[in-house]
Amino acid sequence: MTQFDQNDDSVVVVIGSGAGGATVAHELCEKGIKVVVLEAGPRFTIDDFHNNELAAYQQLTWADKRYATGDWPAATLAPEGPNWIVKAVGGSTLHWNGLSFRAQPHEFKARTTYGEVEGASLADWPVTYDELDPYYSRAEDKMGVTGTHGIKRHPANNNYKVLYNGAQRIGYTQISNARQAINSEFRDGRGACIQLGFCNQGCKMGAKWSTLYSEIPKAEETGNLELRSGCMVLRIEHDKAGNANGVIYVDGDGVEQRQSARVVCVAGNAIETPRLLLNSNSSLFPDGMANSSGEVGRNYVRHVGAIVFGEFDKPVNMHRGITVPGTVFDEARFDPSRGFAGGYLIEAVSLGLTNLAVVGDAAGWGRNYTGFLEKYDHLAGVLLNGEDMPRSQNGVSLHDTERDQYGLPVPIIHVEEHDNDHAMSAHFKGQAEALLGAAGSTKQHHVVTAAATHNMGTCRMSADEDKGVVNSFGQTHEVKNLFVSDGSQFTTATAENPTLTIVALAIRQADHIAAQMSAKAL
Amino acid sequence: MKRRNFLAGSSVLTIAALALPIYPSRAGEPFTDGQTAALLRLVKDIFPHDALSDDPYQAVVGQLTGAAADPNMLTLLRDGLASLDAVAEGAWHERTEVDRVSALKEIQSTPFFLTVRVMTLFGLYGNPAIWPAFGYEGASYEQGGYLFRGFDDLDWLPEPLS
Repeated sequence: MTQFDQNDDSVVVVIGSGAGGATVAHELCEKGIKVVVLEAGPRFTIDDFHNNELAAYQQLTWADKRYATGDWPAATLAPEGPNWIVKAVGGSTLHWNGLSFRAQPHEFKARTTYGEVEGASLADWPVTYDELDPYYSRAEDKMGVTGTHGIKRHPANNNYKVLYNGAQRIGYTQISNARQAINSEFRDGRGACIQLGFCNQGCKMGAKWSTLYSEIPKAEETGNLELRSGCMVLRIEHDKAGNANGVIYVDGDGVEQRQSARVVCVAGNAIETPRLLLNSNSSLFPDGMANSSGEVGRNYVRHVGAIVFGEFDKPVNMHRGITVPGTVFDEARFDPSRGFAGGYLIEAVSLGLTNLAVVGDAAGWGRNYTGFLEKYDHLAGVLLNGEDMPRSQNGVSLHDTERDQYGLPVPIIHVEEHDNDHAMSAHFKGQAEALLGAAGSTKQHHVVTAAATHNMGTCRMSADEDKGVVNSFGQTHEVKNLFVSDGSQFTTATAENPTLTIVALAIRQADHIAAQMSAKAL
Repeated sequence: MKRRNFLAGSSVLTIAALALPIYPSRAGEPFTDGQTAALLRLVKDIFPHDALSDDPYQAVVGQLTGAAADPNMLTLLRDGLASLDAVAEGAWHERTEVDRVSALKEIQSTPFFLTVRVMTLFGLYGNPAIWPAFGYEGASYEQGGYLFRGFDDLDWLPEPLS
């Protein structure tokens, strides 16, 4: 295994090994650039994964303390665990569902398209769909997205049949089970899906794309990657000129270490990334590194979410097979006549019995609730994934006094929901009831989703250095050799699941870093 | 301490509570027979399923008893049972279901109730022994997934056109 000296200041240090971090690392390694990846969590193998919801949750979840404040459901339902993300090599690519949709061209121009929305901090992205198009294509090829590059889609499972028929019967026309980064047949060293039904617990077939068994081993094969797991980065350091020159981290033995760096890429998910920048304050950067705009940690978006389960007279067995097996796109359009800006996706979804009992009603008990749970094999689920409005006051800040096990201030995630989010959610609930009813459902059960899995926007891209943290390449406006490589970069949420866009941006960022290094600009 | 405080302080369940350990089961001590009977009645009333035997509920009572090795938990449970008896003006667990549920509604926001509810939630629905009664089939990897075991056997709706 490749090892780099901790004083080697020619390496690129990447913090985080999820979709953004591992992708930018792998792309750089292929270009001959030396990379050290620091990952806070442990390194598992596919054999370690559990086909068991409780065991997998305990194994994979980022459980370090966080607080939720504001009026979002997490503030009351999950006040100390508002974000369901992964702490392990591979990051949240271990538990993601594999949905790989491109954001729509108009969504990159959210402010221009939606106009002024009072109480929202909408902005246009400094990158267009057309600029991203070739990188989307490379990302789809890399990840093996069904319905692209000649990759065949999966057969329809039971839950998708309900979604499809219900959607068609209420007049929807854009219904698909394609665009999944889950192998329908052996490809790129990864096995084919056998419909395990445990996509969120770590795919035991390795069929679902994860950086754990794709980008990372490929990067290691180049001889240019050293991955250090169990290493939590505490802060980024800089030289007198204000350029990043190393990172301080705690290794698996609890010992503080320093790694020198030529370039630093931060990809810790949209909670940890701004937290690290805020913690990296100094006399030169009193409000945190790369935060002269004051936008680090702000404009947090997470998607408007909700689940509706329909009860049917006949069995569905939603748990058999791909967890999120298909999607309706009809509501993803821009159409303010519905009473809200932005669009949403309707996705079929299943939960195992344990998770259903946990989230079905966070305070539920008694015969009314157990009667619903007893319908388990006669239930089908649909999920809302919609664009939420960014707001300046929503985001990540640091606790004044409380410290975590690393001695770092505990992050506080504050969200005040926008009326636009509520209007979208209400519209979805009506459509979901109609859809499930059209498929034959006799009764619907509404679930409030508390923990956010899609975390975005907290180091937003902007053309103007006063209005955001990074430029269109994820390069911070203030520190030229410091990059943000995850969903924190998103200027707005878009209606689509974020991973494909994160990967496309990471590929583009790696090209930019390599070019800048060649030109000695970094 | 932190865990108990979390349990006691939560107004409702957080998914993060999934990280709670399953306490080892213990029999008998430190509860009287009446208290043990009341605990069984309690966990059954919180998540009643007529199709289940007492076994999975007894397992939860065993976990509660194990957790009561912590003196603070023991106090919480003993005092909570006493509060139920007080509301019921007698032995709560010997009342009718309607009366028992009515008493539970009066204490459903207390740390006692929330703690027992959360532990029952994980102890019961996390127990693979009960899954067949719900039609949930659990782990599938060892059996080759559902690709040849009914992932697409829903036959009461037309096949999607792709």
